[in-house]
Amino acid sequence: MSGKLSRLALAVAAGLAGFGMVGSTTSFGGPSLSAPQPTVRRLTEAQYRAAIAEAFGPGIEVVGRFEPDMRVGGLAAVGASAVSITPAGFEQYDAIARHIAEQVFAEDHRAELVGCAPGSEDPDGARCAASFVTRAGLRLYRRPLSESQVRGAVARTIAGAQKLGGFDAGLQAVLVGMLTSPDFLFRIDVPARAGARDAIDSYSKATRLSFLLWNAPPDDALLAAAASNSLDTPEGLRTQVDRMIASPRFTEGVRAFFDDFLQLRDIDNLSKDALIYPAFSTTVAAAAREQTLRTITDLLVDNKGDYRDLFTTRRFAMTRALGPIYNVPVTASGWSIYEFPEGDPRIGLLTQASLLALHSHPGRTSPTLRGKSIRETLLCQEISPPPANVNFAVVQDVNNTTLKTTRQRLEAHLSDEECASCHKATDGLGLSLEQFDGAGSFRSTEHDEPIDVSGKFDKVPFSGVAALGQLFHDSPKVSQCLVSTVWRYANGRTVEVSDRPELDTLNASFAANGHRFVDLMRTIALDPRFYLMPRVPLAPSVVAADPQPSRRGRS
Amino acid sequence: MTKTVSRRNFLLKGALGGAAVTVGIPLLDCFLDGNGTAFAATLGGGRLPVRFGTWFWGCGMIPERWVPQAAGTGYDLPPQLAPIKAVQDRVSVLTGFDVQLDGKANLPHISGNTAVRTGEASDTWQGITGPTFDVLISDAIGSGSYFRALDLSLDGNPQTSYSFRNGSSMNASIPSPAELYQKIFGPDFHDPNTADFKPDPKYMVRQSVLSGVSEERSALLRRVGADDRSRLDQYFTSVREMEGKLALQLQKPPPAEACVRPEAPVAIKGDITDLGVRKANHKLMTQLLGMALACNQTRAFNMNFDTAAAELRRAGDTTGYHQSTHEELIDRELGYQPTVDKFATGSMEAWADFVETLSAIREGDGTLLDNMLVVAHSEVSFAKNHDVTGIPVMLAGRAGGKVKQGQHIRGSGEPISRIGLTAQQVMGVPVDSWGRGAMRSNRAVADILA
Amino acid sequence: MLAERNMIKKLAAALACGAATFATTVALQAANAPTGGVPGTRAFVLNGLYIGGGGDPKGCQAQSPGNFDVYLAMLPPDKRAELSPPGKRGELQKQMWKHFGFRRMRLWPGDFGGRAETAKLPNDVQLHVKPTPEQIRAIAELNGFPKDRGSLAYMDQTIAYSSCTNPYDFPELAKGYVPYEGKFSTGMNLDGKAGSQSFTSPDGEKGVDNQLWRAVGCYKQQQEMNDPALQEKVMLSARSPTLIEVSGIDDPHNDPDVTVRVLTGADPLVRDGAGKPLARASFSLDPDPTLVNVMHGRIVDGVLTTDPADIRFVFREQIIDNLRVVRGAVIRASFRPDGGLDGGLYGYTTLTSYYDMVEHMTQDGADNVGVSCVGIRQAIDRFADGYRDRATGKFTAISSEMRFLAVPAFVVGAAASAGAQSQGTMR
Repeated sequence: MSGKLSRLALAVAAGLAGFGMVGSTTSFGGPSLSAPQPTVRRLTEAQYRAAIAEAFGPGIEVVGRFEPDMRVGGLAAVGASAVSITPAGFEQYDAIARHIAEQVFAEDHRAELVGCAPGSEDPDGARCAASFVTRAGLRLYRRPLSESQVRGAVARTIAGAQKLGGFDAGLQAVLVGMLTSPDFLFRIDVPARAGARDAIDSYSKATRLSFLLWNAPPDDALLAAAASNSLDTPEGLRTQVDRMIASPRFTEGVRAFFDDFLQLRDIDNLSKDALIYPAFSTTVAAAAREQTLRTITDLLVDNKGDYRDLFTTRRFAMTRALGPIYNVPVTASGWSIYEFPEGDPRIGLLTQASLLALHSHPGRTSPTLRGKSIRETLLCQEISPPPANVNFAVVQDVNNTTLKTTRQRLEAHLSDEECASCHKATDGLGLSLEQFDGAGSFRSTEHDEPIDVSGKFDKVPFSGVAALGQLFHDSPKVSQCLVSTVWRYANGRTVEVSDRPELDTLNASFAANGHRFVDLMRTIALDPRFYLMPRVPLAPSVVAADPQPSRRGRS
Repeated sequence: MTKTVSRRNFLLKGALGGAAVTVGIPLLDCFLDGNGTAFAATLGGGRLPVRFGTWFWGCGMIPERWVPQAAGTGYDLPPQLAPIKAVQDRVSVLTGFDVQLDGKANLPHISGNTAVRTGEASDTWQGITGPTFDVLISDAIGSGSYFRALDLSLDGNPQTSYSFRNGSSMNASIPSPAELYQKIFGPDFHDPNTADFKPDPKYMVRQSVLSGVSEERSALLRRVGADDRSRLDQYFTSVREMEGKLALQLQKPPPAEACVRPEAPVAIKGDITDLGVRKANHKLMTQLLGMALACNQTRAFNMNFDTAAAELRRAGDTTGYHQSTHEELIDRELGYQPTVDKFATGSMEAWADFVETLSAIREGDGTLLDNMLVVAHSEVSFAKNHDVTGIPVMLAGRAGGKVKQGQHIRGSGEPISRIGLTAQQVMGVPVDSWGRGAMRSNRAVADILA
Repeated sequence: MLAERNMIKKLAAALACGAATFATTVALQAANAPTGGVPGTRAFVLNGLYIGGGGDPKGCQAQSPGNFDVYLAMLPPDKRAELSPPGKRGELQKQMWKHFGFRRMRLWPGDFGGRAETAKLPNDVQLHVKPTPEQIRAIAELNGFPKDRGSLAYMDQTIAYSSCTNPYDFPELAKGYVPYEGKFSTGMNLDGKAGSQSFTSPDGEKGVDNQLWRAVGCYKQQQEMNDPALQEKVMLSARSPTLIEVSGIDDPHNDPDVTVRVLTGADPLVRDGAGKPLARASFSLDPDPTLVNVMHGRIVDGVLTTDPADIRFVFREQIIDNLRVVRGAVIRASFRPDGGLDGGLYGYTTLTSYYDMVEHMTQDGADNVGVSCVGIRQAIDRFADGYRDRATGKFTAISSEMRFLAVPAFVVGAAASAGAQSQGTMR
């Protein structure tokens, strides 16, 4: 423990982004907890886009560069509770908002989205403005506007209309203001007027529920349920939860979770050496990400499957673009399910190109990076960063004539004690994936030397990734890590000591009910504890941003 | 505070980390100009507009004699690039960016340039769906000046243009210096140094809307916990900064210090298809263009040195440029086509002329070129087989400080639409991805960005 | 249980259809192909296909002249001097076209600029719809083309009359033509004989039949293109790549009995990140069943050779869209260590299908590239040596060698039906 604390102190003192406190507890000798506080979570880019589509329909274009999301403990959903908006970010939101507002008032959308104008009965357009602002505001702010908010908006519309010589111009400017307002860009809890100190109001509940299950703001039906306070009753809540899980939009929510969990967004920035991996391209990268998400939803949503089966499945979503990487004939140019036969090297999530390519270097594999990501992401285990003075020369010499395979070159990690402490944990797993190169293609030899795929997981020796997949399937650590991650994703924060009992219950019910992912989401969505304001530790928590995954010089 | 510090480091690590983390890194020094969509130069007190232009030359180059060996700054100059020596510090060379035909026919001297300009290969003019990226940029930045953009050609043919809104709507060129002079500096010349200024009310309206947002600050901060208070405060600080920038726009624009109305040009004598005559004509046209920009008559332009399938020829040589590319055998001793080499080198001499001429106009603390981004490109790389991979591209200018100059950047087979995307982003077009099909890209070329 | 039932169903269906490869089909019922594709099958997509031949440095007494050279030689000395200089090329072409009466007119306004005028169209001709033969006749008449002249050209976007559309009308443009008369040439002995028109291969094989090279081998353009190093870089345009699929391979080094299919793909060939053709991509097939060609072959010491068969495939490259027919075709190719295939397609290319490709170049293309359509037409007619037509007594095909480069690929879609023999009328 003291080693960990001194490393913590070092990280804080140096002001560096330290390692994430992934799912583990912050114990500082039992600090006291403050009064419950509202959560404040910034919309992610995907959520922003969903919100505009919800409010104005899919025909409205959202273009621009968003303030980047930040990961904490591997999750952008948790980082959303840590970020703000920089001046540069605000300018971007402003530009995006102006473009949206232009389209809303353009001829082809105005009738449907605005639907009124100043006229003989409403000469200055105050009534029209009030109606538009009320409707848009309900969607954008995810709750009804207050009377004073509406009044202010109308007044600014009229003033703006006078300056700019047109009602539309004035109202358009007000819309831009709404789109850049903190009530839109941030999800901020509002306490319930009556009841327990830590209860949140109906609209806050609707927002939490909707972003969990659909990664989008509440739709009409959910807003209506909030308005009628039916979310405060177990039956009312259950009705909405069931409706939302049965909806095709639930698939979108599951995709959003796994996209965050597996950090698949990083594939957008992935580049590979074109000479070494000529089959790899941005199209292939995007397809690989899509493949993983579709494989997962096919198993977990469409087939209401067992999460653990992800590690042993032979059913991969497939499209033509991925054929060259997987070295298989692909008939359909759209998406279909490809079933690899018994005995084929492709089996389970660990052999999907997305993860294999993401955690490799541009020109070669990285058992260490792969092992590290498996440990941190799928097992919720902590791996410390390497010391600053490491010599990488041996590992990077891919043309070394005596040390032909990566395994041989990485032996150095395991012979040096200081290195071995972390590398036993990472390389042991990563090396078993060496039959898949840095682009995710299968190979059985490296420089004509057969690749050894043996390893050890939790002291159990295995050979090959099929065996590893089975070990993962059977390991309670893997399931528990998923539960903890879904919980953190849903709540937007790391696990505190006081949350442990809730997690224990969740783990038990997950295991008892066939490890079905759909059921896990449902259980969390129905749990009253999900709708409380958290009580945070009074001592400042050392929750820092995750370090950028470094691809330089690491093994 | 730990969180703020770590967040800044997060951003810095992203910028320095080497991995292509360009998406999502905000341009921290951006600054809005007259109509709020482009970026103004940070030089000259932040008041000079940033201009954009393209420069087109036909029939590409001979890759073995054009592509530098070394990447980065201080790149070597192979023989065909030798002419740019004097301006190398201002010119970046981008190689290895490809047009991906996506199954469409490679139409000689057409597919390449339309794909570079629109981000999508097309078999036919009708098939061209979108505006060229220069139009997207001039739409974004051009509304504050009298001419949205200037399209220029040097062969007397107004049809020599690669700038269009869509396949049926091409922007015709002004095909001679004389016509350019008449259009800009003729009787209707608008002199910026004597104009009356009227503040645009839309900035006032935007200001008041933002102040409505700021009004909510105290109420909101009261509702949240201590940690979140500082986060939201940072947001409100950002709002205030934006209000400040809008206020700037409400003040009278500065005089165009470099603007001097030129004399009418003397026409160049000789066959305008001759390389030497063409270069002289081009220099004259460039001087006029430079002054048009310095006088803020326009902020965007397209200069076409010759057509795709270059009609250039040279007095005394046996064949013209285009014919030579196909007919001339590769000289066994030299290892390349000598006539083609001469024309390709001549095109580069013209480019160097162009860059020098725009650098000669002083503006603010620097030159006109400093406040500009120019994208030069051809329609093929190796013309002999109409190769549309590795189409040569060069950049000149600092875009008011937004862009790093003087680098050789290798594309390694990446779609050339990344360059069009980057140019748009540098010039402030709010776009996160551009191009279609195989050439759809959402990654700017990070090495260009300052 | 289900698997068994499926197996029985498949067996019944297979027996009913008589398909020869039902065993493989049944085995794949439960799953898709393993990593690496169906065992025993290797397919390739051609990224280079070019006319091969030659090798004797003394084979050409001169270079066959292109149209400009021929026309200049026809002019009186003062005119020749006036039009020879480089800057006069445009004028030379204009005068040459005028002299011969070549015509070229755009069918639709707005396409591809250039110097061509736009044709007047009869009322029943729709914009951007390919005209019928009757409509072509009408358009030609309306625009003053010579009687019974005027053909679609340049991707069916122009109507033209030239020495390429009607080579027999312009015999003068064959003047100065030179055939390849070397002793040596690459190629294959197709007829088993070694006559006066045969070559000796560089390896000493006698009786090599490659009359196509004899016909066109002294044109500068052909000489340049006959170069594997150049062909590596000039990847065939994407549109309809040719595929070769070898199945029934038990031993990739020696196998007395394999099936070879030559196919036309329906999906584009794409380049990979290194600028080379993307390997291991999947290709659907052109739906035309006459483009599926089945051959039988063997592998000896890593070299694949087929028995002769008539084949048809489509060649689409830049502005050319050509159905190529080769009779008595033989493939001889080697498997490369990198998984690709290198070799040649030998056989008698029908004169019509070969010339169709030449005509696609257009007069302007031929002018610029330095070949004479007339020279070529006369030459292939003269040197044709295969498949004599009983009625006319003339040979209809010419012995040829087409060399190819290919990278690994997968054939999907119509792959299951392995039984279709090539059929249909020959051109």
